Amino acid sequence: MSEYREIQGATVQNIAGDGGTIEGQVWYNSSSNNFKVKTYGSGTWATGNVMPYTARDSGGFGITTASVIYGGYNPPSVLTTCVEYDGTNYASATAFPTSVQGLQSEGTQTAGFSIGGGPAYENKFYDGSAWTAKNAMDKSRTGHGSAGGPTAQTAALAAGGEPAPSQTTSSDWDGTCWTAGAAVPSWAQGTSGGGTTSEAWMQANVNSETAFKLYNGSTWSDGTACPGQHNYGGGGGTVPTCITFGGGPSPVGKAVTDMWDGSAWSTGGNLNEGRGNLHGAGTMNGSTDCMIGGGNPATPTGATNATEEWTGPAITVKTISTS
Amino acid sequence: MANYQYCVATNWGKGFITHSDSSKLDFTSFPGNVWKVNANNQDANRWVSGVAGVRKTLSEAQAIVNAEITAAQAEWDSIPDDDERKDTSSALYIPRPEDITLEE
Repeated sequence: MSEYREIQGATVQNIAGDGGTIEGQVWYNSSSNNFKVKTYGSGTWATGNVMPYTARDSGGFGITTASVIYGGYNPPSVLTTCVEYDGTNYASATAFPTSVQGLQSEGTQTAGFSIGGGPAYENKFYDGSAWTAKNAMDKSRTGHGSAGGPTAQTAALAAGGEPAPSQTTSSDWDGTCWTAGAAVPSWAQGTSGGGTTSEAWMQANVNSETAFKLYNGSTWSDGTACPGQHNYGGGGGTVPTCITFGGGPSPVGKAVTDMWDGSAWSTGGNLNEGRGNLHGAGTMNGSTDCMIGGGNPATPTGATNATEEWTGPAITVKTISTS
Repeated sequence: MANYQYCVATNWGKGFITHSDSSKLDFTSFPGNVWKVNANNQDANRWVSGVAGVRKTLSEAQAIVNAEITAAQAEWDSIPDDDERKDTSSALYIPRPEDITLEE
């Protein structure tokens, strides 16, 4: 019979309780006289109330209980509609000044930042009631990734996207102007991303949909490839913990969620309604708590008004038994 | 024995599928408000009843989905060939809806 020490290279620790243990660890709890293991759940999606309008490729920022969703594409129309969500209900809000789709967004419900998107490639702040135009980006971007978080109005970045030559470039926002940022090491288009201007992540591109890229404030590098493909999917969270979900390539409206814990990928709960074209849709404020509104279920209409809310996995301690 | 059961139910929003439901069951949605959920499962049976779902056999569910897809394909086919929605290089491109085969 194999011994745990031979397999793992170490003996099982004897601990008087559950404290100080990490995910995946097995130990002997000398207080309860049981073997224990710390496991990580998979997280789940639940339906939220339906949006008052139908769209894919819309923008969204905020948190689940205080968010803004706006613009998007409901074939054949590119939209200006804007709504706010309080965690239960949607309410109408000031329309985005121009039709926009395929954009990215950062910030909070009262300090939001709309970044790029076609056809006008404009950048605007939202203060909870009005939109204000900001300086143009050095590159036109749609289908790109972004980072900045709650303070994005003062510091943010955008990376990848289309049209050419945006795919391997990034842009930095200093609160007033956009300037050329660090080069992206490989093609990035149809991305999701998040984080801050000093620690950001970006996932998916049309040529290598599992690519995962990390930014340390000055340089982009390739991270561990995501096991699933989420081309034009959604994402939430920061560095080191984030999730990416939905997207393509086939079917476009896939439901899979993948979770990154800083060192490895694991599979999260599926979207109840698989969908793609999510890259800016909804508020992707965290790996433990985010929501999406709209997206592209692929068939038959190409857009939906369905909402889903994510609750991230909980770390739990389980007793190991022989039964 | 079938692995899944089908029903028609309208997603009313919050509470239609809860985090508790989602942690115990596998849900998939299809055109025509058709939902696929685990078969031979008490939690699934309770969910279908709780959302006032109308149970459908596999063939009945397939017929509903087929009708929705056929209508969507006809709508896509009626789009002029020079429309941006048929231009694969356009951000406004939408693919032709594909047939869906439900599984038992």
